[in-house]
Amino acid sequence: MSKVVGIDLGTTNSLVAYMEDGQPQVIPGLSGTSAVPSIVSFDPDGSPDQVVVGEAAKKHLISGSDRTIYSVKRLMGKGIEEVQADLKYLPFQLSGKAQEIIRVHVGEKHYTPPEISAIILSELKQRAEAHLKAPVEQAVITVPAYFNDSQRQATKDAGKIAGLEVLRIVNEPTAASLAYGLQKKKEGRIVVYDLGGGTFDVSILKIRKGIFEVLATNGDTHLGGDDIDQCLMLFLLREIQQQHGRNLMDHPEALQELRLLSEKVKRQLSSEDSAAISLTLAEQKIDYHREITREEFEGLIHNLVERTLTPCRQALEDANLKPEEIDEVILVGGSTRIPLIKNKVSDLFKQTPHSELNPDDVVALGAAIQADILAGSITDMLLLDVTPLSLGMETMGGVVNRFIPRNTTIPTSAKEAFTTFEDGQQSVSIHVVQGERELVKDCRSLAQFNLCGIDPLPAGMPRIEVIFLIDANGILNVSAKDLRSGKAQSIEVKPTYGLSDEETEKMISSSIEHAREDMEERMLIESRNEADTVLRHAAKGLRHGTTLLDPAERKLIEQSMSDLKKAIEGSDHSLIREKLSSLDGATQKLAELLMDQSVQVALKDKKLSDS
Amino acid sequence: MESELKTDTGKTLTTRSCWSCKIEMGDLFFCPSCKALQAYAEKTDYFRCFGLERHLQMDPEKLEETFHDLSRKFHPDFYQRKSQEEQQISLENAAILNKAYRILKDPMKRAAYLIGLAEGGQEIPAEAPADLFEEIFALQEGLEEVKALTPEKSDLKLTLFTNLKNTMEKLQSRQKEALREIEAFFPQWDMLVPPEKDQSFTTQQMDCLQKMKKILSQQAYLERMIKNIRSAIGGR
Repeated sequence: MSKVVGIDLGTTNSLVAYMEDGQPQVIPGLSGTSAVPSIVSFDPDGSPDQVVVGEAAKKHLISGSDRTIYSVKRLMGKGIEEVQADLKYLPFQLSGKAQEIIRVHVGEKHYTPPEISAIILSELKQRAEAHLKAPVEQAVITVPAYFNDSQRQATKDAGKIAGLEVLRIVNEPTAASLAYGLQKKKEGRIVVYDLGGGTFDVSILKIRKGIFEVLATNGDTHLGGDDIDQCLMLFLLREIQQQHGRNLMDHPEALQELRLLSEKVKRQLSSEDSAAISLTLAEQKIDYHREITREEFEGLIHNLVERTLTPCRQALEDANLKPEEIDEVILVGGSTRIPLIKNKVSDLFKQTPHSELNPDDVVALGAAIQADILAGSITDMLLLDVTPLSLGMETMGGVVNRFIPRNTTIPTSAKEAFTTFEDGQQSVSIHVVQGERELVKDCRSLAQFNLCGIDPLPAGMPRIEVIFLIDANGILNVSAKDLRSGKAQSIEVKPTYGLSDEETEKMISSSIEHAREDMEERMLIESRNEADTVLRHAAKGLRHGTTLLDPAERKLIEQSMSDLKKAIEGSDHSLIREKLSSLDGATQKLAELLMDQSVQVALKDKKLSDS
Repeated sequence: MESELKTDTGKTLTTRSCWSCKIEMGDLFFCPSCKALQAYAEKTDYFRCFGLERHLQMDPEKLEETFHDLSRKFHPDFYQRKSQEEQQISLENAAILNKAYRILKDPMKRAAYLIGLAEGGQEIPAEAPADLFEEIFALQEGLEEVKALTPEKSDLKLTLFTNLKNTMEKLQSRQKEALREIEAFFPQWDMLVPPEKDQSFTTQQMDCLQKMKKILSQQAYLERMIKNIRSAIGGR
């Protein structure tokens, strides 16, 4: 049976984990590091064939800043109008119409955020397959708890495009609580404060006899380490402008360098009281040096940290709890290493927060546990999560009729009855929104549902019951029934931000095509490498064993070698394989002779490792 | 072992057949023969979802325990590898159970739901408590003034906000009072619930419900006012 893995698809880093002997494990890469930087770098022409991911892509952040995509999670399920504030700092180009999916431009091509996330997911999938030595086709993927329906759907689409069946979308703080619960075996009320690279979540849970019940969740899907970096970057940008009279805003590469520098300084200030900053840009004639203290840095980020506390207070209120009633606070996400954040959290909840679990791994570990629950291996743990945002629909005058309030345990559903207003009307349109505000314009549009093919009847006669169901992934499913006939009513769905089913299908098939091309490419490289090694060994063998062979045998080996050399120059890996095996056959006798003589074991070594 | 479970009310009320193997069975969650999960019977009310009579007094901890036990039976996590049909039933049952718990765990919502059952599910209209007319009048004025605020009058803003916050606290303590008032009716209602009957309501019962309804109407009004204040002074 193929393994179900757990994936933490992060803004900055992504990880894949699985369960082994009842314990979750993060799968390391070849270099031994477990995190894959969530960065994708394309060729200058933007073609998907030469894409690199992770550490390899990180190298291109500055030199290839216009084709190296980072923090794509912040674009998932969003429209261009929602990311305006970020646009001026991003070195790559985005486009899109209002209320439609964003396109990322790379050279001649453009990609949607789910396609770019899919590239990261494929990398994790391959990593897991290499480690587990088995195909990986199913996964649990985590998302911020405060992700809305479109963002969740976009994540699910990304999984599909990467060739993964997404068994479940799990909220990051709740996943963390599973890992925590498995390790600590404690019961009570816990708060998970999760500040990642791009998003902030807070969840309050009650753990009782293996049931992890989320009481309330809140957050900000656009607040994280990236914003802290940006905050420091803007400060440095202003200072450089004052001192050198140069605005680096129009220099994407310089800006990128400054952003990376800011990130480094931020990390340093978590453990040290001050950090040296120096930036030399020969091209811009900038030579900038300064020292920054932790205190100065904290002054800069103070407002950002405060912004995380409002959702915490709201979650407490929604859970109907006081800070004193919380038994433990758990910190998740790399940004919680910042001392100011630890202090603020401990002030608010009146206790020292826990951070003994590695805040970088814990979400992926939790995803692996959930994967094991779904696979049926763990039966004593159960997660009862909630929907983070209220769901409603547009009514007269642009007012929202809310039918599922936030913090409702999922799965949940609501029924609404619809009819027609005109004689013979055959379709009714329902606009579904998510959010806490009273007016449609202040909420987020999810989709337009069109009840169509209604029997033409006098106004008010048709009776259609629509069921809005939020599944365990936090994703909305809508179905409708004609109450008169009892038949299912057909619905056309137009998602506001996101991909239609046909678009996703197209991407899946093209990604499979690419996967095939990728595979061909890899097999060619591997066969060439092997041919090189075998040729080297054969040449060596010939030199040492030249007196042992008769001329005909010698001739045959030389011929086989030159055939293989010719094959390497082409791009047909099966031809290379074929020539490889004829050379193998031709050198068999030589190898035996050499072995008998114990003169040289080079060939033998090669043979053994080959078999 | 699951086939030994009692019915959701603890008694067998109806017989129905298993959707999967079609054998006749009681009102059970799992078919005794093929073990398939069964859907909640149509029009199962939230009390019965929890295997409860229509009583209003409830032990929150016991309710939570039942909720967790039933979640273990229904949650889609445990049906991932079962048939499409069973997955769908698990999803629907879990959705009903979650909604039921949300209503039953809140005494106000619980009472309102019961009134809805008796009256056919209309929403309870909001009604201003008569003794609060003066405060409400002042509050309306205060809200209007906040709307009319201009950036220059920031000192006025502070006073207005303080006033609104004070009113809000007053309304909130009034809400707590309303909760105590309505809970005072719960034992009275529970005495009126005949142990075996379920569908029809007696005049005495309707009378008791009407009294609770009045409190709930006022409660709905208070809720709306508090929401208005919240949106006026910012925050959700």
